[in-house]
Amino acid sequence: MKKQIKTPYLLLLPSLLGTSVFVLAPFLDVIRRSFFQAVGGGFVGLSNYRQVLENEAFQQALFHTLQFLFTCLPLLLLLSFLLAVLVYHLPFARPLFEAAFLFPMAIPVASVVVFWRLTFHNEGLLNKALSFLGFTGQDWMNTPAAFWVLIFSYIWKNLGYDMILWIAGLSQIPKEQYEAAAVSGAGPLRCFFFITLPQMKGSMAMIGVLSFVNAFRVFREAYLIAGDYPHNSIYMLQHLFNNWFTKLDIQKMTAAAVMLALVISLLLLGLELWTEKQEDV
Amino acid sequence: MSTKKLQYLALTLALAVGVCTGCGKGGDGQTTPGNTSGSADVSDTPAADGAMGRYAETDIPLPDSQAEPFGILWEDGALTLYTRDSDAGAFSCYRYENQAWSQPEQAAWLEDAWTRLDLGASYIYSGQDGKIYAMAYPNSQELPFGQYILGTEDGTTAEDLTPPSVAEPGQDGYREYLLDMAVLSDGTLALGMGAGVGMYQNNKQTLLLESIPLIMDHQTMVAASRESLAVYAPDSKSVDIYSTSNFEKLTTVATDQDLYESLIFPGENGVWYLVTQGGILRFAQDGSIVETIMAGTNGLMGSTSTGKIQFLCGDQEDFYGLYRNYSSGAFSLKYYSYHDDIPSSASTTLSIYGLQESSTISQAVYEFQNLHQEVQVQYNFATGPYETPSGDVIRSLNAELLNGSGADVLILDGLPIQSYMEKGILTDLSDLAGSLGQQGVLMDVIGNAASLGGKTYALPARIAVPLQFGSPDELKAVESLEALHSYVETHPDNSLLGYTIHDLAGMTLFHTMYEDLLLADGGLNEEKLTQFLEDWLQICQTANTQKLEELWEMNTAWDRIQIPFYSGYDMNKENYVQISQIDGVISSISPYITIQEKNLTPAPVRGYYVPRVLAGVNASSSSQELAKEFVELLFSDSIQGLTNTDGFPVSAYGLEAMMDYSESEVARGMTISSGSVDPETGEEYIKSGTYPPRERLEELVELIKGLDKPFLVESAISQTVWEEMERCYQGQQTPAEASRAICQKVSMYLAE
Repeated sequence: MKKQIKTPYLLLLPSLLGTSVFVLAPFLDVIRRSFFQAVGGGFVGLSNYRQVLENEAFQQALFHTLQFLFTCLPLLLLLSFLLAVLVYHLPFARPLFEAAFLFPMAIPVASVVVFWRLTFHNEGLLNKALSFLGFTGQDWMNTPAAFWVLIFSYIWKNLGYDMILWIAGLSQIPKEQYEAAAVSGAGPLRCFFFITLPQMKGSMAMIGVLSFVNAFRVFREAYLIAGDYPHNSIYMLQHLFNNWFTKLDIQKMTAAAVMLALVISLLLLGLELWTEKQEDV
Repeated sequence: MSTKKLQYLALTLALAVGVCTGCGKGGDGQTTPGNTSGSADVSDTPAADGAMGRYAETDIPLPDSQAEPFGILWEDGALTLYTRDSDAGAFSCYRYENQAWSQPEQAAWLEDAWTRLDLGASYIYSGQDGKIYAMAYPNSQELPFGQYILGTEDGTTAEDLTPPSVAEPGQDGYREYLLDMAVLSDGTLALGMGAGVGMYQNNKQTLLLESIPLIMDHQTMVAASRESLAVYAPDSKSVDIYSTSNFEKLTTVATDQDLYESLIFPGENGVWYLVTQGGILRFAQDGSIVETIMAGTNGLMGSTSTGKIQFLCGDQEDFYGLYRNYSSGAFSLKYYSYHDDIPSSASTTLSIYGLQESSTISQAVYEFQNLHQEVQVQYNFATGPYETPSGDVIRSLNAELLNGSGADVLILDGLPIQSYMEKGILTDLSDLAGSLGQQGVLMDVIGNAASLGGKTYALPARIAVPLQFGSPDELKAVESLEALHSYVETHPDNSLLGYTIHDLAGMTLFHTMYEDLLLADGGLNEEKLTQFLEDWLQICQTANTQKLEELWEMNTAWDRIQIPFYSGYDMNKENYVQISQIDGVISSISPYITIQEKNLTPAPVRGYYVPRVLAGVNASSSSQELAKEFVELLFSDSIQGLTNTDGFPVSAYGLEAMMDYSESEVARGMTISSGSVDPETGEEYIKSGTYPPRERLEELVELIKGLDKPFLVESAISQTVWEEMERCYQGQQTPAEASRAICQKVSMYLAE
């Protein structure tokens, strides 16, 4: 029995070592730097944290980041779940649809950026299409519409991935429950609300966490399309961190990074506890 | 062991290998961020083992003569220097023996070529057949222009050996252009041309070998030894070696060096030598050995201010090199020999880093290296002098600086100086600044270029000067935002900036009016900016910039040139103002042609100067004193006396030397011409000017001495303004929207 417990840890050891050396150890250095001056090593206590919280650019970036998260996450979860339910119940060619929806995730970011530029540029495909239909286009990436372009980009890229995860969750639900409910006279809607939904809570937590992590990756597209200082609506924390690094404001960057990590850790911990409680119930 | 356990073990090993992949050293320990060229270091690490012996350079004073050296040969066991006096048509040679020059001997055959064949020798060659050859130009227009090959049998009578197919003009009226030559032991001529290297036997081309593309009017392409022929390959970085018996390619030697402005010559026993800015490279003709025997930083070949005319091998694995300084025109002869008593590599390293290559720094590196033989100087830069470094280069540099490493001396042009000063990246140079003031450096002008809290953190060794000149009304218009607006309203039909394109006009005017647009917190006034943008659009409309841009096939220009002040193209229009940044005396010639023709008075733009070659010392450097000494050297007379495109000197000596140079032969003989077509009238407009006379330079020097405001606008702000102005110009947003976007982004930049 002891051997059985040891073996998984032994197998995980190389990966753990790598993560420790290349991720955890550097992050410990980040935490250390957050209490010191950028250069010169003078200890400043919590001064960097205070500076960050009072920094107007940080406040704006944080607001826009939260705005983005609270908009895109529920939308993505809802759309991907509905899509998963539809695709799961397809009578044929389900693998084909799954592959098709997963395709955006396989496209390199640089290629995506080129496509978005072609589409959302003032002389791009979208404006041309709108013009053809008698509407007036706009400069999408330099107006508040940039926010929705980013949301669209994020959902387009991650929809298929989340759908697959939902489908995996759906396939865990025993078919006998639906059969029994059908025998008792329950229709599709009642089966959905009373059988499907309650049993997807665990999947929802996991998919939510993964989507949350992926949401931060949207910075790549935003940066490649719009540069260091994009339209205000899409100026997010990652832009700020990037610019702080260029200006050597490492003390602020590390303090903000530590706070961000702390908040996210607390959130994930809370989610983990809630999931465990649900499972106990 | 069970199958499962074997599988587990295999997986574990695979994971371990995967984690360890990429944990390697990742290149040598002294990689400088973004360096793409020019790191002329060889021995990267100090000689920890006490190894002794390396090549060193010594100077050989040239003979005291008015004649101009044009080549060196090894003849009868001694160095022979060839000179020419073009005015008199006199050619001489001097032999160097027992560390002294002989009396000049007449090179009779060259003088014969001058008088009888009307050909003046410009380059001298030693053939593998034991004879001497020369490449010559016609003295008059009676012969078709181009290079001619001269030879001699008796040393008295010259023969024109140019193959007829080369000498005769083609159907287009032009003859073949020769760039280089070599002669094989059987007398076969190997001639470097645009098409490649042609082999000529009995005046007929028997073979054509591919070679390096042509970019100069004379460049090295080919050299011959007894057994082999070296030809620069088309990739301009490798050398093809051919057998001279059957011209079979023996090997290709990759050098990783840019072969333009390099020289190649044979040694003994199938060895070849290549001299580039990186140093002297030795390789065997079969390519088996390729090694650098001398670093460029240890010799004049590493300097970008000097061109290599000719190099040759002596009889003791020693070398001689003839050079010419690009700006002063002065010649120098250097001797390279192996010294057993010098450490093979320096005990200390001094590293210098800048975003762009600077000829001022290159020359300073050479001089510093000569002063400190015990120090290995490494000069690294991200791009050449005319390229724009990427943002990633700055991020890589910042990562090094934050880790307490990075170069000892930082050349801060294009770097976030304000951040570096605030974060303590730079050493306080206030003491050095004080002492430089006493040595005649114009500290009144440059002292505030990089200062914070009363301390000086960097000093510009050169400055560029924005000048404005033009007709009175137009000059008034650029004095302030209100004046600009008033002019635009009252002169709806006159193009304020003459012929221009929209982004040059916009960015130049923005930089000129920058102070007027600033708010107290460093942000920009949105209302004033909106008005400015409206006025700018009106100016573009009046100047018909769209039509000009279509005509010149030029959508934008500022993003490529990144010069803060360059308002447009001077084509002899009336009633306009031109704002031009001049980077030295040579670049002042063109604007001053107009100034003189129209009897205008140039004035500085708001008292601005643009700091260039801004040198600071890395606070984390362990060689603080050496680094400061290097910075101090940038203000020495020899460096300040340089003429280059880095900017004007900033010392009294340098400015005086600049004025004295105007009286030199090289300066008096300098003419610059440019031609263009007036887009409105279609007429050809040619500007031609000479090196400025002393009187004009004196005015310029007085102007420079009166400057006191460093023009330092963050590149992020300029870039943001340019991007939004582009959208405005393209009609994608109104001036008000552009102004709002600019102000928002600038506010965000400042808020960070």
